[in-house]
Amino acid sequence: MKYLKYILALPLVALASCTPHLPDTYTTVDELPVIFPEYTNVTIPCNIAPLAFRVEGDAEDYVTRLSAKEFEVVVGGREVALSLSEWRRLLSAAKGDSIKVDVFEADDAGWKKFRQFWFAVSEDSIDTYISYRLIPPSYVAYEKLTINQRNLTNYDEEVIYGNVLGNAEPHGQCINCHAYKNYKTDNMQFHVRQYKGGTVFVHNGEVKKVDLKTDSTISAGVYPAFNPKYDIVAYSVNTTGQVFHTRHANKVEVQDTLSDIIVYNPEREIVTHVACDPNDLEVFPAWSPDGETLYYCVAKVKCDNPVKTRVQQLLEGYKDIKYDIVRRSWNPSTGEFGAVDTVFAASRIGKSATFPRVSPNGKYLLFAMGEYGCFHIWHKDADLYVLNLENGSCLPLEKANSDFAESYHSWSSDGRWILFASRRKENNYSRLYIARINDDGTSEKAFVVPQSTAGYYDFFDRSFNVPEFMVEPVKFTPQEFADVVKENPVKVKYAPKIK
Amino acid sequence: MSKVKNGASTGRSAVRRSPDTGIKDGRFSLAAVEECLSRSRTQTIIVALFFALVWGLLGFYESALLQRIEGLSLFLYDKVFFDATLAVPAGMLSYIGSFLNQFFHYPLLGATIYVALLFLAYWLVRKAFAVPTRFALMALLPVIALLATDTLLGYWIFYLKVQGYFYMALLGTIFSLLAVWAYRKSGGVWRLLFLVVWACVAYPLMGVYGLASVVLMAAVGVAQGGGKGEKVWIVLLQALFALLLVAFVPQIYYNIYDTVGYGDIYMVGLPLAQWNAENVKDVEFEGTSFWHSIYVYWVPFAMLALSCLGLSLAHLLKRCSLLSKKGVIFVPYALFVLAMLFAVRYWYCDKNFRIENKQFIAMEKGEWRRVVDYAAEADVPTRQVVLNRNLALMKLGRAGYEMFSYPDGGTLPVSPIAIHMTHTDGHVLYYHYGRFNYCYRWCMENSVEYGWKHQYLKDAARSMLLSGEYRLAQRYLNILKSTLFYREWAVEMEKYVKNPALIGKDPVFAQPLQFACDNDFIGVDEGVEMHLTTSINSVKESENKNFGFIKSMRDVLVSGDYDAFAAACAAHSDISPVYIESTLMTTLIKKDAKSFWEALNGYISYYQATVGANAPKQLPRHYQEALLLFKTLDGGKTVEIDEDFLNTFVSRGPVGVEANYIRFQNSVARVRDGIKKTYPNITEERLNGMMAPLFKEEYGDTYFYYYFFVKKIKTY
Repeated sequence: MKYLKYILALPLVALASCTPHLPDTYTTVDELPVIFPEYTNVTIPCNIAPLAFRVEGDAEDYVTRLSAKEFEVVVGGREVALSLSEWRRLLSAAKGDSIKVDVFEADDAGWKKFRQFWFAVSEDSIDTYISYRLIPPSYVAYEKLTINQRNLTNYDEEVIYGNVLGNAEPHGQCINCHAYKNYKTDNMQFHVRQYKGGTVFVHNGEVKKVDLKTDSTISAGVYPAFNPKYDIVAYSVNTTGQVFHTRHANKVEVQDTLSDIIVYNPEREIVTHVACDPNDLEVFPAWSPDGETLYYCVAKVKCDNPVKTRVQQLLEGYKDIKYDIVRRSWNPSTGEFGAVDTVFAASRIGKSATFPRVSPNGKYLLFAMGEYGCFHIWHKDADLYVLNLENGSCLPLEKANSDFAESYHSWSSDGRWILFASRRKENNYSRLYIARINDDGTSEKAFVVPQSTAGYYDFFDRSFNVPEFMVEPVKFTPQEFADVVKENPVKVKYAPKIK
Repeated sequence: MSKVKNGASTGRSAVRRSPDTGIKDGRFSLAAVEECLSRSRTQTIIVALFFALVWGLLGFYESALLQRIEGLSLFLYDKVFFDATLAVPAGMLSYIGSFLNQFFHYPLLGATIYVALLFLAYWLVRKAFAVPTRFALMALLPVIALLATDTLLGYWIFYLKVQGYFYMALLGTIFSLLAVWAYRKSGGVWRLLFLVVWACVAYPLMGVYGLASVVLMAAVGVAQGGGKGEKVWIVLLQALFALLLVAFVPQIYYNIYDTVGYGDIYMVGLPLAQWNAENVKDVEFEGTSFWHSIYVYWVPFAMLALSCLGLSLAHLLKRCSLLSKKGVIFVPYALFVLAMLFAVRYWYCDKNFRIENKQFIAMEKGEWRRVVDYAAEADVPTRQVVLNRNLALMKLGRAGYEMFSYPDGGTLPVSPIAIHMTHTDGHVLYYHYGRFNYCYRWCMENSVEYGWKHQYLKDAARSMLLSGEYRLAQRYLNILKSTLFYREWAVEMEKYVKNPALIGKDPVFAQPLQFACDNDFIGVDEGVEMHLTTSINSVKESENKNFGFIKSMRDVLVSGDYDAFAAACAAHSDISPVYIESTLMTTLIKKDAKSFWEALNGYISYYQATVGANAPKQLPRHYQEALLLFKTLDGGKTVEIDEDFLNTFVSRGPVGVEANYIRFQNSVARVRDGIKKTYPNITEERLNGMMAPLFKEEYGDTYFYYYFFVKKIKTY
């Protein structure tokens, strides 16, 4: 028995011997360590999940110290993945200041210390939830698509709906375009295409499936925009095709051959047109925060070759299709829309602007701009831009952009953060990035949404797309949505006016 | 010497017999046969022979198939992979199955592991169902069914969505048998507890196999319980409880998992949803075959279930003393023979499928002559076989001499589903013909539908490497570095990513890059052969195309800038010789005389420049044949060929190509006239069908035979 205490103490001794220690002597190198994901000198919300990263290199050993005021954590090895409690203590200590990170590397010549980097911890928190669709970056094939929600303050992730729940071989089911009203989930929607197709629509907490296609519209609703104040939803309706590049790294062109804008009144189950000029391709509706202005994109197209079909002409001339951003006022009393007002004429500078999103304070318009077309997630040259709606100045988000595609962006509910998809790692898989937006409309350096392991993005084989902020989780289970998907949809009617 | 049972003659002193046969005193005796068959040694020998045979067949006869199975699976030593695989009910079987699939990389090693597990299944059947020694052969019935679930696959190896399928039934059965064995050994309340716990644990890990094991436990309980004389209502109640577990456990898990549809909850782990009549209702078949029925694929699973269920209930027969009846020993032998016939029938031995697999393995090793030789084994080849062969001939520089010297045509793959080359090995052809985006695209599309495979990762990596998309190539190489057998390859390829200048120096990449000289253009992929035969065209002019062979791509490749790459392509006006020759090949395959003349001019220009001063300038044989044929068909209307041209490029002696062509013309005319006299109303198609075999032996290796008699080419 007398040896028992020694035996019991053994694990503690072993643990202590494994605890990493900072080297006593080292040389200093004036360069930042290479880490993945690239989190050096980023600004993060005060409630974000731990930024797990690994130090790249072939050294024999690594030690990393993360410190904020008096609190510090020392991690041994290449992988730096802190526990939630350690990380929260660091965040709490560094709020309004920064977490300092020192990386030490050991090789034959001894220890060396890299230049210190930091995580600036904003006093602003970020919306707790985000949602996104997980989809392989494929072209025509799809399988196992899910719309997921993620808690940004930890690593918890749940499926909102997965298409395997509604699939029945050989019938496939595509799901897309999830959207929420005012960042809440009592009014939300997503589409189910093909088998048992329809729009799954949560209206004031009640879920239903609706068929938004009418004889007067070219398709069911596609890109949605909930009016933040009133009970209507704007949609684009689209006929879309795709063609493949034999050589170009963009690989595929997704192009509308027809598109209009409609609005849907979920109370009355009616839709009506907002814009349906056959010479225009109208797409990507977005409401202003007061709900009385509708923004969308328009491309003027000319299909006057009698020998070729419209589809042929549009697909062949895909590089000539350039979208501008326009807006129209909306009168909630009459339901009528005002005249078209061009907000940003990208076509005049030979560019194509898409996906307008107005900041919650109504001051800025965030959009993606590339050389041509509307599907910028496949366009390497696409970048994010901010248009100041008060003075008309427009600038790229230089610190957030990369040499690869940036698109599908959204504002946090307080307008302090943006979330967007970027293909900067290898130009194929979209990953979600968060960037702090300053009062002057500029941004801080973007950082990829943290995962529990640094290697997560090395192996994960789906793209994250259509990221949206939410302030609460979706309340229905995937199985409950699946039950609704199996039902027959409510068929909407076409009406000349929405009111 | 084993004991003689069941009333067989014991008069050993009075009877002289051969040791292991049923012949005594030179006369056949049923009792002696029965005695012989009852011996454990007889059965042991048969069992040993069975497993040795299976090992040999898999390890040698099906070595190419096993390597393909391995290439078409994926196992990564990585947490994300583990989590993704385990996120589905039956994920554990998938995970272990994928792990074991790796070892088919070395077919004999893989076959050894597979057969060892088959033997384990056999042994467990005997233990779990307490199969008496003299009925040991009965324990082979589930094993044969298990084998058939794999040997029947054929083209399904490309299409199955269940990962690790090849081992899943085997592993599922092994774990089920272990559970049944444990259940047999337990009793009272423990048995009930075990049943509940097992049902709840086994379903997420093993899916339908977990449910099946619960049914087997119920059956064993009924058989065993009855044997012990327990009250019938208790036994039946236990069985009913087991069935309720089978019914409700999947319902509970449906609300936990979000990765399985309600309609699939009772069959998760099986590809039965794919083997669904709805999937094949619109498929048109060429001829009729056993393998065209989708229901064929269900049968081994039914046999597996029935044999296990039958064995689990065998105790009832024992109870009724049926097992000791005279002559009953013949039953296992009869069933074994029937099962072996079943196994033979369920072994997919389609010649074209086997050739395609062997060709693929040879292509991966760069053994192009083998690819051609395998094509010679076909009767009527699939287009995959033909395209693989032509690619190999092009690489060997022998297309003009040999491409019509092998079996030709284009039959459809034998399968209940419509096979598309884009889903099988089309992406590899795209790679070799420089269509890197299309190669990548189909790796991606197929990985979405059927899961990532070692092969897709490899092809995605190398196609993106040659596209100058080094970051993307590195991504796939990083993944391959987490595999057991591709790490070395990935590390080797990584040196090109790190130093792209090496790409231009490596002859392995030179040929695909020579086809990557077209400017980018957009389109839809209308099928591998269609795309290649229409887009590989060195003479077609189009605003979207500006052919140029990149003499030195080093600088461009180093930059990794695809825009610069495209610009460099456009800036060069020279066309690669292999591109020119491939253009000529496609015109011949398409029997397109107009394009042939256009392509021939380009070919001759390059050919004249490349043949040595003293070398004969005659064109390769098939090009001569085509030249003579198209000249005749044209009749001088659009193309003028003078004697000097023919003297220069065509073999005109008495045993030359021209003489052979004239003989062919005359023979065809004579035979044609003869048949028409006999059958004046015969259709051209029928006439063609009658003439083709008559000329095959003498002229089957000529282009004119191909032109007139190789019809109904079905590409897919």
